[in-house]
Amino acid sequence: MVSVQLEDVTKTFGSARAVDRVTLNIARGELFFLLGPSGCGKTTLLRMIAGFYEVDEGRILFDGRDMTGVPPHKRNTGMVFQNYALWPHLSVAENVAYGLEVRKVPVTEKQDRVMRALEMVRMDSLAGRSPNQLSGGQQQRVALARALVIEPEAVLLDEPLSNLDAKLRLEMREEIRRIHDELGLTMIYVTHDQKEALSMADRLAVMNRGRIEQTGAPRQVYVTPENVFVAGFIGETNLFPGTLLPDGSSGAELQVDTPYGVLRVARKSSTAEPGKVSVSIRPEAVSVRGAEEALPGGILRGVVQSIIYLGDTEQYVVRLADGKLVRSVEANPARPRARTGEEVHLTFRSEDAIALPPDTSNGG
Amino acid sequence: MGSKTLTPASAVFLVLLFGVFAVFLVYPVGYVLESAFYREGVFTLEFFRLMFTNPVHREAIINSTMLAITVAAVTTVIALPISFVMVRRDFPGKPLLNGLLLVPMVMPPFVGAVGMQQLLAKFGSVNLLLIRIGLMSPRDPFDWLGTGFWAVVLLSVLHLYPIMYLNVAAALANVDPSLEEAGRNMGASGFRLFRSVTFPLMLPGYFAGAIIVFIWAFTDLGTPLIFNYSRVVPVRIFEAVSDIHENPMGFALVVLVLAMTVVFFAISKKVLGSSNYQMMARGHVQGSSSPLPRRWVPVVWVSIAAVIGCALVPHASVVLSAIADTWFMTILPSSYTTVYIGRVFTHPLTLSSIRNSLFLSSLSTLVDVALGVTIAYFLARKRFIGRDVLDGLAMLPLALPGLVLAFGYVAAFSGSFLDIKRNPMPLLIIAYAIRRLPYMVRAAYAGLQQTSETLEEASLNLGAGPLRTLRRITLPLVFANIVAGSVLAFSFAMLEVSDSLILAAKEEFYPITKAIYAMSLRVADGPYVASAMGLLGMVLLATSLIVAGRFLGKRLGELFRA
Amino acid sequence: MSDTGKVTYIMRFGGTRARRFWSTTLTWVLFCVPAAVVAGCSAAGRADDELVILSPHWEGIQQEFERGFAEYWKAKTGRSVDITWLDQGGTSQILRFISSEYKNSPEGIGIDLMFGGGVDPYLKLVKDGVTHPFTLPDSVLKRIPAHFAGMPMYDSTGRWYGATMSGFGIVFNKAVARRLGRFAPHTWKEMGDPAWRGWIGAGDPRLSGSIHMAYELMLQAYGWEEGWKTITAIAANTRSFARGAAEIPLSVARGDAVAGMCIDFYAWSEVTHVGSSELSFVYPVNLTAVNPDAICILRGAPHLNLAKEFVTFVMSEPGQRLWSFKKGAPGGPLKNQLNRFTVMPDLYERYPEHIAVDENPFSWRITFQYDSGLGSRRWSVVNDLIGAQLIDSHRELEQAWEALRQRGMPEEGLSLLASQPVSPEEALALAEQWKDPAIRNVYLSQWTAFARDKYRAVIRGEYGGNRQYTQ
Repeated sequence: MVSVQLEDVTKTFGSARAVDRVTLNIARGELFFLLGPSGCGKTTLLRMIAGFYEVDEGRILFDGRDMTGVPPHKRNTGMVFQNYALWPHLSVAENVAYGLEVRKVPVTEKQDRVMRALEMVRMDSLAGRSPNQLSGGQQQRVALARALVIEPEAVLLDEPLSNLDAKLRLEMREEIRRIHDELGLTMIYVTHDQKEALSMADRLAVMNRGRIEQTGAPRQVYVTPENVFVAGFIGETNLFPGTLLPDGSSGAELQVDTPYGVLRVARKSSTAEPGKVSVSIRPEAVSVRGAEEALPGGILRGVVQSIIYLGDTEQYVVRLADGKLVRSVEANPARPRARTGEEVHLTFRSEDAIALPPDTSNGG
Repeated sequence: MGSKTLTPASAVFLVLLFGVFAVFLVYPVGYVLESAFYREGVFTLEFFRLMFTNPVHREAIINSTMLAITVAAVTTVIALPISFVMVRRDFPGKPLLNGLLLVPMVMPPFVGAVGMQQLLAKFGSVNLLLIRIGLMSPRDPFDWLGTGFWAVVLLSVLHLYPIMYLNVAAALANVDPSLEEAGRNMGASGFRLFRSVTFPLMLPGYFAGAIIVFIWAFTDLGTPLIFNYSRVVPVRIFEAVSDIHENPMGFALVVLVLAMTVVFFAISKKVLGSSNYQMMARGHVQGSSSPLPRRWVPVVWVSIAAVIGCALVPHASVVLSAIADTWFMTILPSSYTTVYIGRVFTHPLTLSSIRNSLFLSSLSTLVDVALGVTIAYFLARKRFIGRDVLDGLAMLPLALPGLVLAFGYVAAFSGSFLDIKRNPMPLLIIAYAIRRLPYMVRAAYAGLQQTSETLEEASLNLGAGPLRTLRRITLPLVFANIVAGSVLAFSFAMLEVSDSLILAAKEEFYPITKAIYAMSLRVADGPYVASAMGLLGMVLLATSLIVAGRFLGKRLGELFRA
Repeated sequence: MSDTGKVTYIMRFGGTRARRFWSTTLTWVLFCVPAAVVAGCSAAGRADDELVILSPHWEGIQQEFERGFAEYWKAKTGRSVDITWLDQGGTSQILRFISSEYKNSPEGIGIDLMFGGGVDPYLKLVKDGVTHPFTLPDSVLKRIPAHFAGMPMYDSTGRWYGATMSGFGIVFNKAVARRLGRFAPHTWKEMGDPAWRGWIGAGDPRLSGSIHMAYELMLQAYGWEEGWKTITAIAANTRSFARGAAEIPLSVARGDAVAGMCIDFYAWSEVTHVGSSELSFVYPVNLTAVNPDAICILRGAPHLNLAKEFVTFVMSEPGQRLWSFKKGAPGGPLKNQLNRFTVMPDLYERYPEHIAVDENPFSWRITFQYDSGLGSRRWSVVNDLIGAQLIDSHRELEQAWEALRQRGMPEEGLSLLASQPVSPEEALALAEQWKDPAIRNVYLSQWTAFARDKYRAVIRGEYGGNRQYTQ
């Protein structure tokens, strides 16, 4: 088990910066997620950790050891590929045994460890099969066993579940989490699926356009996103552009002047300055109410445009006077709170609102 | 490995590869060019003026061009309708006919020529039969062979129509049926539809096939030699080999051939507008095939069977000659024997030639595997400066007739330790290897393309070094392709004609093909032993193709396309 | 079976492709290495004695003499012998090879004997002083005549011996002639009969020495002018010119030609193969030559004693039987009937039933003497005259020939047809400068033009003009 440090790691393909000055500290035994939309550089970063790409600038350290110039086969990482990359000409057992053979592990020990690894992923009964005879989930388990059996310093997983169907994905999430907890491995897991990241990660890093936008525990990142991108990428959010008023007399609460009135906000991100900001409020924090039931955060007026009933939740899309749409999710909707076309009040608690630096990408 | 950039070791390897090409491909061709254009250090076009003013050379150029055009035209006439029926219509027995159509390729046509002489002589089997049934006067038998032109055309066409068929059929299968439907929708039908829609669409594929056939016919040395049709360019070049240092005319003729092939391949590249490799990866667009009307089935069967039947006449004549005991002015041999087949394995010349061919072909195949897999690996897995050059060099032998390469070798390495007068074995091995290298590169490249790189990365990741990864993962995964490529390289090396005739200067080094040629010129049992050797070659090539087909499946046909 | 055991089983016997790949590769290598070894070392077990012979003879002759001599030597000394046959191509290449080798190492070139190639090369070797004189035992020598038809049969100082003889003649197909309703040609002149248009087999003298000999013989036997008429007529009747001497008997046997010029042993071999009832060979009496085909010991022979033994074997009765006897006859060849003449006249009388060839040259009355000196000096010039006028302009010649045939073969036309751009004296003089490609090329294109001019004149019926080159 190692800790993995990335110091100002940069990778350029042609003129495009795939990874831009990334600095990360991944602790021993941590299940760390790299999360981001496709093309954000997360896979490139993982492949640099594995050694498949050289680092253009910066360093990658395993337990403080500089990995620059160390070829992939000498890094002792165990990688699980998106397409599993099982060798079709070797049986399941031979696939798993391969890394041990390379390490010249004695025959009896090798067999023992292969069997244990296969047991761990519950594939011991299919050891003699050819990979072509396995289902996607089974192949995934074998790929995992193959990466684990060598007792790697770090396990690298590149979108391991993206080729599986939804049900199997849920199952494998728990499986991987279980294995991680059992073995206490350092795991670096790349995905674009925020649910996967939120549900499994010890910590995660959100990447966008080659940069790390925010690093932290899932709850922390969800509740206090650093910027509009993170807020939007991890879960859904409603954004209200406005002006952060200078600290007033109202103590801890901040006030943001928006076209919809002054909203009270409990927190601001560290990067938000007085002046232009965006207020982010998650849909589940927005309540559809009558005006008399206003919460401390503020009140918005609008007309219900559509209602989607989902059983456990109900989604409202409310159009404000200037045409802006606001989403609200009500949990446990025993009775509808409004009808389509009805004028409603939207309200929220100030603790659930956060002021972020203004969205520079596209107006939002 | 995982990274696309070169490690120092692989860079050294790459430099070596370029070195091989420089010495055995670029240098000989450059030497030929220099000798043709420079006389005592001064640039001159004198030899080219001579080439076109000297009646003997001019006649040879005209004859060869006419020969090649005729062969291309006749193969087109045969292959086009067959392709249409085979691609667009379904009928019982189609797969069988499809396979049988390719059978004539198992024998180089010059071997067939040895047997056909017996059939087409003035009192040969054909005329004797015609006289017997009263269609010909015994006083004035028709001279089928004549100057030799039509005999060469016949043998070449019967050998080459499968190549044309493979190309045309592939071109046709790749014509998107919806485009034809669109044409039909606009009211075009029948020939008009073919002319205005189908033909333009399949033209690139057809063109590729026609160029292969044209160049093949233009540069074939064996068949004109056997039919004693000396007034063609390849025979003139063959004769020029013996006084290569005194008469530069040979160089000029070789440059002519070279220029012609390069121009044609450049045009075909332009027309096709695609890389050489594409075909291996390209899926077969399933053309729309409709059932053939019942009453047409017998017509199609008889016509195609007739073509196959004709194409197999040379093979039959070789088989008959191989087992004929006495065959003197009778339609069929009057008695049969296996003596000549036995003699193949006892006669010192034939026996040593079999040994030589096995040796030469095995070694050249090993060279091909080593070079071809390495080149394919670099092309498929690495990014480096000069990648396109390496690609071009590896494919160049496709456009380089054996005749040109062999002539270049004789000239360029004369006096060096590779001089063919000392021992032609090294140059024969290299010539065979270079000639068949594109097949190997194509086969291996296709295998690598189909093999995901992550399979190699997974191995590296688990701690296996690049070499172990190559040995344990990459090579086994492209195994089928390598086997198929090497079986083809091996069998075609066994039956390589032009290079063998030119390079194997001494009897003790004759490979099978040159031994067949030499035996066919021996009195008494010569042609019979030559035919028996031809039979052996046929069996060998057929076996190899079946083996290669096992590994490559349907893609086998793609190796014969441009 | 325990779980671990199961994995072992799977990993050991898993029918996986990796293993198949390497086993197949191994098979390939195992297959190639023996092939390489077999091809590489043809000389297997070492014999007691060895002999190195340079020879253009075909392997049939080599085989028979190697076996015959090995038996002879075993019987005489109980020792085994291994012969290495060196092949340097045709006779002219062999001569070049010998002279360049002696230039490098005048003491000896590691070769014991030269065997075959006619007699002309041996005259040159004697002149160069590279043959080793050796006198045969009297018992052998007294059975061989010293001269035949004016030619010595061996060198008086023992520098070469005529081991066999060969001559030129006409091979003809009786069945073809019968079907065409005529008798096959038996003389050079008859081969020029216009009725045989397209039916005659001839070859390109530039590509084959023995074909060249046939033309040179005609030029000497008939004289320059009449000789050219004969050659031109034969060429006009020829459909296509053979590239090698053996092609002619083959095409005659196939029924593609009725008759053709041929060296005797090729014809005899073909006759033996096809059967003498339909295929025959004839020497045009007094219009051909039968010359010795020699053997000699080379200076500095590494195995001189054995070389002497070999020459003695070849020249004595056991060797002579190999040349001349039928396959399987007592003392005759075992695998290949060689169909060659013996130089021992008494064998013809003693074993008429065993002699393979139905001719005894010693019984002929011969007055024509072939001048091999003249022949070898003008060799290339004659070839190029034939090449430029008859072969490279063959289509024009055929048209002129047809025109003359339709006009009843007027003598004037025939003379013009066969007229030459050079006299025999000029030809001989040109031979001196023939090594210069520039001069040669000038004459070659002149002659081609000359030939086409005269054929066009013949076709027009203008027999008078265009004689300015002739003597």
